[in-house]
Amino acid sequence: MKSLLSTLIFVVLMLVLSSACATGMAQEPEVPVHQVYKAVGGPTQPKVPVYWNRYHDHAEITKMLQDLAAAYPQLFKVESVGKSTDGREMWVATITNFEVGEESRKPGFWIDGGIHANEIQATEVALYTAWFLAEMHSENTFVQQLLRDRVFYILPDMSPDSREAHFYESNSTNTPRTGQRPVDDDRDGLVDEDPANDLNGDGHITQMRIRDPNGRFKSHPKYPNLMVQANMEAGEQGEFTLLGMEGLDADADGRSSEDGDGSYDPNRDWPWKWEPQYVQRGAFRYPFSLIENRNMAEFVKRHPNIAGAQTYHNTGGMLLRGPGSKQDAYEAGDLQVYDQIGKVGERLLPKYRYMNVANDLYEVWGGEIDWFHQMLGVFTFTNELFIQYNYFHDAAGGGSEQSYEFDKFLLFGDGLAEWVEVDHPVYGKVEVGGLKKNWGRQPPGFMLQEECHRNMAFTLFHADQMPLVRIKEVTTKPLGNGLTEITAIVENTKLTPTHSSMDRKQKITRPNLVSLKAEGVQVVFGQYGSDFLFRNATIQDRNPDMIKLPVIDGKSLVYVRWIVSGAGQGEIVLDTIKGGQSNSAISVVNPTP
Amino acid sequence: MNNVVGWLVCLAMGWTEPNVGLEVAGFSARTEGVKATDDGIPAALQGYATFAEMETRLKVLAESPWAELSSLGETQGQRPVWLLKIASDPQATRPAILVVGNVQASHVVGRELALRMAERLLNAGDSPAIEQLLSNYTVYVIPCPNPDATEKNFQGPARERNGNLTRTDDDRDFESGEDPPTDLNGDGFITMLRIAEEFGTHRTHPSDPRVLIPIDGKKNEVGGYRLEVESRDTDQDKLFGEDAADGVDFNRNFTFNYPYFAKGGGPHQVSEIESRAVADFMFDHPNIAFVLCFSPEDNLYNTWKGSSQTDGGRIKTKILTEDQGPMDRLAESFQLAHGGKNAPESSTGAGSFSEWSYFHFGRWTFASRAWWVPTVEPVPATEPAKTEAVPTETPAATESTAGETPAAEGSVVKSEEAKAVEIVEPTPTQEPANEAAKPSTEPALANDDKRGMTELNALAWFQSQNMEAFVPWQAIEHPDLPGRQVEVGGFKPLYLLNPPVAQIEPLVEPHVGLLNAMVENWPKLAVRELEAKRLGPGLYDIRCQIVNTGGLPTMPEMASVNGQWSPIQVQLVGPGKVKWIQGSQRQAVGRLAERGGKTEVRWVFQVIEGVDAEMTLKIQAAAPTLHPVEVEVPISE
Repeated sequence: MKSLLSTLIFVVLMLVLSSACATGMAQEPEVPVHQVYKAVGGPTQPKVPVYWNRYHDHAEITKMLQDLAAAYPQLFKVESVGKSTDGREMWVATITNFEVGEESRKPGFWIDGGIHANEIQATEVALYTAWFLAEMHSENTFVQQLLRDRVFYILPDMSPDSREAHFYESNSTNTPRTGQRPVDDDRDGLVDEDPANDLNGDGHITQMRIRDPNGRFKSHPKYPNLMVQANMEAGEQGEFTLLGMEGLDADADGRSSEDGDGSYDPNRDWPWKWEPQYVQRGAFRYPFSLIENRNMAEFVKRHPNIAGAQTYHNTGGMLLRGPGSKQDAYEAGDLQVYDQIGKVGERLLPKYRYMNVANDLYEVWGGEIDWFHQMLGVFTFTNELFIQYNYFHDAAGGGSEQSYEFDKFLLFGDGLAEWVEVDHPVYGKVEVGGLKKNWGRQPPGFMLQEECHRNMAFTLFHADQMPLVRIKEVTTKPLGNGLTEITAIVENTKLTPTHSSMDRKQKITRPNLVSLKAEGVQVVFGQYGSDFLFRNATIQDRNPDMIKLPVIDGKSLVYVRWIVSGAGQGEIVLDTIKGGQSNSAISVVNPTP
Repeated sequence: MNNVVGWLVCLAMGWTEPNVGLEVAGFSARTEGVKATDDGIPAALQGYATFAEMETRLKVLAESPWAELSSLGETQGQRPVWLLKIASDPQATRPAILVVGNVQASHVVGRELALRMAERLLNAGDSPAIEQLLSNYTVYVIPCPNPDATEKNFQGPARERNGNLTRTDDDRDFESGEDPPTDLNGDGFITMLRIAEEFGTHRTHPSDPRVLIPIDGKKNEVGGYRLEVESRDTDQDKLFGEDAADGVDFNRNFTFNYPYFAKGGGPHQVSEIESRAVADFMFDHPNIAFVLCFSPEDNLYNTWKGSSQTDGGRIKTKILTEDQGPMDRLAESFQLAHGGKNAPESSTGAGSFSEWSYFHFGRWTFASRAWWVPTVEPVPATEPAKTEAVPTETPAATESTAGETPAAEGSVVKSEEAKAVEIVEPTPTQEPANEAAKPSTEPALANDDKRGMTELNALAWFQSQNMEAFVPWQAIEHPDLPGRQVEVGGFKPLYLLNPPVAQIEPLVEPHVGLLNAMVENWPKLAVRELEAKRLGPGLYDIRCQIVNTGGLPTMPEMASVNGQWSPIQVQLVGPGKVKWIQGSQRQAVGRLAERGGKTEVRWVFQVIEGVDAEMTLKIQAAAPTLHPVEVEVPISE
């Protein structure tokens, strides 16, 4: 009740807000991207124009989402799930056709990105999906059908403080993976006192090298900025010793840059198979000890209709499923569903590999997707965005050499910070240089939109395969003596079952209910089975007028049968949490005894 | 043994109606109540401080200049999780001990003891040991980490309750609280049902038919009863009292060995306001070196055991052998002071606070049961119960069996009642002498058969104390078992966990003594073998040993494994602007073993600015759990 009330208040607020925004925003976009000749697969004339070859900061994300909500009030709502450590709102977009059906009763699909803030295109893929669904709705029947039957919850930026830090502070392509909650990483009583330092002030934390005639490293013959090991055995001479990341030893403890911002891993903060940091590096105090994750989890727990989920990360071109620990296993029935969806993904995302985290990548204890699957029963993929195959469309994983080659011929050197000499207080004259923070794990602008679109396509396929139930057929048959047999065939038309095997095992989501409601009709017997002959049927003794179906499997039928006495009109209602609802009128005519 | 534990667990789990209000009337009588009294407080807790009374006592204590009272957070029931900080200077940050009261809510004596320890510490003009403790260390006391759950135990009908106010679906059937335990005979206690059943799981104990024991299939025994908690089967699912929406149990909500999807565990680890408040407080206080909590899952008598084999695993699940020695030594000194004998066996439950505190928080952690029903000597010589028809067997018959042979199964006089029950065939192991005698259905148990001994002893002890802690079995008409022979009875809740209030005070001193033993053994830093040389103009070489002179290692080995401990920071103070040739100004030192564990620290540096003759150098060593040391560095040429 309380939540209904707050939802109402929220809706009213949003209406006020969105009308305010709408007046502020021209109904016609200021820069109409009007296509005379439509490029297929995208909106002809988006109301909220966005350049998908660039990255967006928190203010831009906020504006984009609010503009979309204002432009498409019948499709798009934005709310905050809570504030981050540093007080930024964590926006979630709810996207569905609000004019058809009740949002909270439609099968829901969750998408999030950017839990590792340095993996920045994760956020763009999520944003692109939100934008595409809204902008494409008017001109695409698949999207219309999707938003009629489904609801999308999209939280594009799971770690907003660190995304902002990546944009506006000196970092490398690998930082910050953590959030911004202050942590005394080296447990010396001082907090974040020895971060990486941008010695030349160019905004990028790169590498340090020092000239050393006996060093083990030298310049690459073709790409001199690249450091490679000198082949000493072959008589090669080194020129440099590498000193690691740009940094000082601000706290004079002999270790450089050992205590920077945060230094926990937000994707090791989830309750399933959580282990402390001595087992799982990056784990913080206990599951959901990070406010950003707790905010998100509270929202997800309020939406038990979520039946599928997608999280975006980089890098390496992978479609990952759990489990994260080798001591854990997913139920066999669930793996079949993953396999079917994953195989399609490999087709849509060339050279991406469908893989298991624990066995094919590395062990992860307390990861987000295991929480989704093993504790909520929700089928969930992580996509590791960007694959080096894209450089030259040859063998995947070309290594540093290919990055430098690509930088030279396709980025024209834009991805690199040239080595420059600086004074280091401990080491003396050193040089700093290497890959910039915006190159390495992220696609360059001209590749970003394709990455967004292909990954979205995979996710929309998965979303489309969430369970969708209907009453396929109802038949009645008089049995004599005032009794009637009623048979309802219920169907799940999609790949995903209404309950994953784990869901059933742990009793997470209540069973599907098939109710016979007709005045004047008394149900005297009820059963269900998997074929029309009711071989191996299950009889339900208690409350047979409301048959509880533990699952309606993917692409399959369940037969429900009642024997009733009396006569009357009414309906059969199929009600599921994760697969939607369906009704069918029923009329029982009292047969003459 | 397991079966006996099972029966105790049945009792201990407890059940009542959900949704009972939490207001508790103030109590007056301090008499050892034998019935649920007018004030509604269960008899077993008569005289125990209610939450309001605990607050009053804490506020009195907080008037002391050596104490500071604060709240770690407010629970769903709007009760603060109180923290009392005790030290001669409560503002100072010092090495500390944390005392946590009843981490299992129904173990109310734990809260009472934590409070009384605080009272003792703050009224200890007579004790130099305590004065020494409070002048050098801080004692944090969280007397009641789970106040909402604890308060439920003060509610009638009496039942042991360990969950908070979070609404739970205890049997995971998508309905919450649909089949709670119910006080069917209206006596104010939730006890047990024994239902006569042809192939029941339990039988009566031959020495005392009030006591039910699980049948032993290997002995070809036939049971006559099934045991259930006193309840209806409201939802007609043939399960009794399986869902009281009992809430989340603080002591099942921690990250070590967490019980996923289990009753009391909560939606996930550290999900509750109170568990988060306590865990965050502890993480925020790296000065805590020792944790003493109260729980029936004791490790002071049932000390934790590890082995070199278990040491090796990636995920540690047994105490590390390095830590076992020090923990055992402190436990032994506690046992000596406590004097209790025959402590009940206990294992630690999944998600417990105490194991988390050691394995994940990395502190020396002790869990004390503090009290259990004392052993009555000689072991149960219960007189035949008067209340019921009992097979008239003589205990003497048991003793009479000759020689080394255990008491034989067949040595019991048959009673009239026994005829009504099926005859048990003699087992092949029986002595030939007894072959002729057809064994009765109630043969005495073998001497080594411990089934029911705990209960027999408890009955004898309660009788010796004139306490009516047992509800005699009484036939009822069970609304959901029409026509069946059903009786209500069994131990009254809370009695087996909590002593009569008059017996609490002697338990305070051994626990305070344990704090003193911690202080006596506290790791201590010393700087030894200091050598400082001037190697040339402005060039210095300083080295020393950092030594632990205390009786315990500077941290548990578990802490060096899990990293949840602040290393010792050794710093050279005063050299001005220098170039470090070897070492850095500040160096971190890891775990040092007890009594002489040491490590060398060395600095070689060249002074860049200033006149080095005027330089005064000091070495400082410190860690939040240790008292800092500082020594001046005499420089020789």
